[in-house]
Amino acid sequence: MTPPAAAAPAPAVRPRRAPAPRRAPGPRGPRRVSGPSRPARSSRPASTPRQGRSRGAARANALPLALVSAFEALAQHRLLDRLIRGRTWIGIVAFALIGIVTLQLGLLKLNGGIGHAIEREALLQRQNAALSIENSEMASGLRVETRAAQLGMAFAPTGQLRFLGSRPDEDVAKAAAALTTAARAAAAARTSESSTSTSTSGEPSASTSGEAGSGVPTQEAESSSASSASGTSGGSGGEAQAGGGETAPSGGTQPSAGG
Amino acid sequence: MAIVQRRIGGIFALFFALLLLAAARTLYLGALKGGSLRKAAATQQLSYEAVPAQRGSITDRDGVDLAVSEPAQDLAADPYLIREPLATAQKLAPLLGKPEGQVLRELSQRSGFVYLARALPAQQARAVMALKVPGVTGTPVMRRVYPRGALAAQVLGVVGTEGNGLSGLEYSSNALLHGHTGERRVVSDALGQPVSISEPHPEQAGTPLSLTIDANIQQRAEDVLGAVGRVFSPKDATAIVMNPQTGAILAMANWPQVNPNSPGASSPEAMENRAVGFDYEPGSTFKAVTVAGALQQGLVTPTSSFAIPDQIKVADRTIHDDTEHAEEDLTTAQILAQSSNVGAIKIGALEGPNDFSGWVSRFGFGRRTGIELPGEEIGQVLPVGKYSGSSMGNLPIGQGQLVTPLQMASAYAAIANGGILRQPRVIQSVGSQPRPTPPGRRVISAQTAASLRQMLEGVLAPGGTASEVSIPGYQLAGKTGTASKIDPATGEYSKTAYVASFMGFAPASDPKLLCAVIVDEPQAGSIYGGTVAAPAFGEIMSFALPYLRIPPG
Repeated sequence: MTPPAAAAPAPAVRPRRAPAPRRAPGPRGPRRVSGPSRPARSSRPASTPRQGRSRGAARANALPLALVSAFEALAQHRLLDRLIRGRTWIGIVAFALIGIVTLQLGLLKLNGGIGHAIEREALLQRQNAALSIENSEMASGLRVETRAAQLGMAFAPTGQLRFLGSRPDEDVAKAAAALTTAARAAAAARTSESSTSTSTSGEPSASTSGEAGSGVPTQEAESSSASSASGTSGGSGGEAQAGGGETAPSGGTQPSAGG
Repeated sequence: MAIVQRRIGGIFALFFALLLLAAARTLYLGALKGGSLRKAAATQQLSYEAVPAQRGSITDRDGVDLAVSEPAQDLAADPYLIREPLATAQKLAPLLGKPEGQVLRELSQRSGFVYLARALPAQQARAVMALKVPGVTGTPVMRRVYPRGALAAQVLGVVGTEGNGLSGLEYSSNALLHGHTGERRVVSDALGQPVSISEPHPEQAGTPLSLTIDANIQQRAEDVLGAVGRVFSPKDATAIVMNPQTGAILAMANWPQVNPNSPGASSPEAMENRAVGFDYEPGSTFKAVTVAGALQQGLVTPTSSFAIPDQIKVADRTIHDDTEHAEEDLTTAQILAQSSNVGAIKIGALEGPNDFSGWVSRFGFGRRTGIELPGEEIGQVLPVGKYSGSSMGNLPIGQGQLVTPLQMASAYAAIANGGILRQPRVIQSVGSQPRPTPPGRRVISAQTAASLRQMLEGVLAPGGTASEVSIPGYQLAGKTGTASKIDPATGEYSKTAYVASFMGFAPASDPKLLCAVIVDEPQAGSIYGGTVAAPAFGEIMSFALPYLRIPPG
């Protein structure tokens, strides 16, 4: 069998492929613009009944199509293209990975925090219950009476509690008079004290300042006399008072049963 | 180059082999061992915890806690997992507060589950769990605590180990107080630390109740009943303090006392709230109802005069007054003040059986008052069709019918408030919602009520059956009662067993406070309402009136 090559010898040199004809210089065609393709114009009139029926379905399909087109446009966006071809994405991916890990850690921490919060809630619940119990026990009348007795107080016996009548005219005048008297007494005491100390040493005497009625500031004297006055008027309005040794005003509107 | 390509091929082969291995392992773990591993993961990582709901607290009218819930734990053990029962019992017993022998017996049971303690206080439970004994587990629960101990124990009731009310308000208001147990899903990591917590079913706390009870008045009433118990050694006693204008119960005391914190230590009878669950023949306190009906019908006036012998024959029975006396003329007011049986029977006879029966029903006897407490009795009222010939000799003086202390207190509250019978109530508010005052129903006119109040003042005035009771400054009104009890052995009225009672209110002209005291079978000293119950009334009222800042009158 004779090889065909021997019958017809190949040319020694392969003929060079003819170079492709270069494009004639001129303006390039426009690049494909990404974005949703324009809907084909329909030649059918808009008001045909068939189209009216299918308009709803067409609208329903339009949104997903628009979304797909938008996504496609984004994927083919020049900036994204440049980003992927460059080295920036390495940084972005690294950042995202670190972010995911951080997020996971944060989530774990948060769950741990929830666990602690639940424990704390239980603890607070226990403490709250314990405080409620303690509060209730401490408010017990028996305990209060015992504690009061330790402090030297006595429970007012039956029949010793009485109501003092209020006499607005007399009581107010009495209280005002008591205040005035106390204020005058305090002022007089202060004057005499200052004159005494000036005459003796020229300095205020410390020894007399703490004694009753002499060195007491006016305001204190007033308040003490006011409180005594209000005590005499007896909480007009129906306040119950222990009437052991108290002097109740006679002729009150409420009957005085004690004493 | 060939070497490089060979190396690349080797690495590829290695990774491919590793991939195959991983795939095989995945297949093995996922498909072959998947079931058991899933179970193991579920037990080790995933757990569902019951979140006990906080039971609603019960407070008095001023917010003082009478019943609160605190976190606790049910401790259980799996005896199969306890390796050294003796040593474990020695460690656990002091913390559980139980004898060592008992704990050892529990840990030695042939069972996979045994309770070591129910509702153990959280602090104790934590101490037990800190020992980390294998096989001992804790379940969170709520524990009911009554900080004031025996105070109002029969009113409050008790809660069982399952967290449900068993008696008292705890029982009747269980649906409100209980709340709903929640569920918590916890995913833990290998170290047991929770990595994910969610609550598919959040717990819902119970609704708190605020009562009309005043803890201080309740305490006083219980103290007074305690003194009555010591002096007269009765079978039991009860006292009710209420606001007659609204029907609000300020105190409902029972003797003997029980401690709801250890309900097992008391008998079930002691847990009974006698104020609503005790049926008794009211005796002379019922005469006020008899007179109220006659007054309202215009059959008598406070000054109507009756010739009163010391006994009267009705059908086949002869009824005596308490003391022998010659025939005398007594007014209606005097009949009440001196508690004349003969006089009351004569007034009842004026009404006749039908009208009398109508008044009994109108004042609420023979049916529940409607208070929010469980176990309320309705009493036993004879229908007019079943009256015998002698019934009108018994019923007007409060014998031959059964009433409850609360029914009597409600009837007297109607007299005190101007003639309106109101439903007594013990719950002031549920959560933050105040309960409205029930409207009430007029049973007698305001004028009749006022006349009756004036007549009842005579009971505590000189010559009355409770003349020794007084509170300086306050005008009191009320009625004593001493009723014979039926002897179950003979079916006749006993000569030794009585119920002494007193119903009263103050100030008489405009009552703001009512107190009922019922003493069942006083043994020592005296048996009369005027000497057993009335002084107790005086003691309670002498505290409560000034305490509530009720001005004298």
